[in-house]
Parts: sequence; structure tokens; C-alpha cells
Amino acid sequence: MSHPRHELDDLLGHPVRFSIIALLAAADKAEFSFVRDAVEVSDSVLSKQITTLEQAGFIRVTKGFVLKRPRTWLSLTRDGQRRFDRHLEALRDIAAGNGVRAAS
Amino acid sequence: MGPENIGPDEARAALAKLGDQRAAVARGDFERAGLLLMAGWIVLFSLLIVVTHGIFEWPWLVYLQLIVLAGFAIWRGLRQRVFSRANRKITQASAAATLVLLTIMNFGVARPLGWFGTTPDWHLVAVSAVGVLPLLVGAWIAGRDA
Repeated sequence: MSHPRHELDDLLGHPVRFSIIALLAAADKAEFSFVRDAVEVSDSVLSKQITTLEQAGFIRVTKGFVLKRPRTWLSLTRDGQRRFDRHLEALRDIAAGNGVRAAS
Repeated sequence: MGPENIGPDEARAALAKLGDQRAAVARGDFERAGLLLMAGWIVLFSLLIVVTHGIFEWPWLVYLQLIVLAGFAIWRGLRQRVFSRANRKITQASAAATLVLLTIMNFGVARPLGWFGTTPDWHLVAVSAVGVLPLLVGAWIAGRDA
């Protein structure tokens, strides 16, 4: 038996990182400026969190051009999606008041 | 919201953010506009075929169609900053359903009823209007989260 909080991902405990991942979970891919506007953070804050998430294997960053305009695209990796799903499951358990559940 | 001190209220607050972010993605995605444009264009194109019959040659209508589609694709490529995961599947499903429905309407309904002659008439528009229903349903579903 274990408390669901043990299933929470430490990295997603940060509200900005959680918002970024929640946004990318609903998207195939999102452009840097879109994520910045939706999460309501500055370029530098987003850059820092993206680096952290990319290094942790949560997200993939790809750079490209649309008619000579540079674009930075962010997307969730398969491992990131799996870890986020596990984090959400733990949150739902906690929200439902399931303090302790059988360890899987 | 550290993992050590998170309680039911903090967990609910975090989960509530999911809906906000899903809505932001749905608003930023142009899939719904694309579906509505596709539905409108199919009906308009069939109307153009009927109205311009005998005036314009076929290739000009095909060129017009290509220009409209290419124009929308370029505009979308420049403006769209997010691509929704759910909407892509909705678009694929509704476009496939429209293709099937248009084929059934044209060859299973229109021809047996004698609506499909050598001269295009308003039946073509009616068939198109019915055929685009899956696109409209898809647009409605795609717009629910926005």
C-alpha cells in the first residue's frame, strides 16, 4: 500500500512546468510563442523551463521555418505523456481523497 | 504544489488547469475553421459547376479550387501556432465520412433516381449539401472545447 503522492512526478510539482505539459498534452505540437502566451510567462522563464523539461525527456524541441520565419515547436514525448498520465492519476486519487491505495 | 505537501484542494486546482489548457489549444487551432471552409467550399463549388456550366471550361474551375485550397493552406501555415491532437483525428474522421457519404449520395442515390445527367443541375448542390454534414458535425465537435 502506498500514498498516491509517491506517484507524483517531482518535476511537475512546479506550476509553470505543469501548465506547459498540460498544454502540450492536448496538442500535437505548439509554437514557443503560443505556449508563452497561454501559460502567461516571459520568454526567459519559458526558455528555462523548456530546457529543464527537455533534459528530463518530457518534451521535444524542433526548430524550423515557415516562409523564412523561424519557428520553435514544442511537443510532448511518448515518455513525457506516460509520466504525465501517471502524475494525473495520482492527482485524481488525491483529489478523490484516496489517501492510500494498493501498490501496483 | 510540491509533491510532499499536496492535498485534495491543491490536486483539484491542478486538475482544473487541464481544462483551461485544453480550451487554449482548441481556441488556437484552426481545424474547426478548416472544416467549415471545406464544407462551405464543397457546396459552393458544386453550385459553381451548375451556374457556370457552358460558360467556363472545367480546368478553370479546378484551378480556382486549387487556388482557394492553397491560399487557405498558406494562410494557416503562417498563422497557426498550435495543432490540437484531438482535432486532427476529428478532421480525419469527418473528412473520410464526407468522402464516403458523397460517394454513396452520388452513386447510390443520385444516379438511381436519375438526378445525375450530362448537364449539372441543382441536384448536385443538394447532394453536396447532404454530403458535407459529417464536416459540420466535426466542426461542432472541434469547437466544443474552445
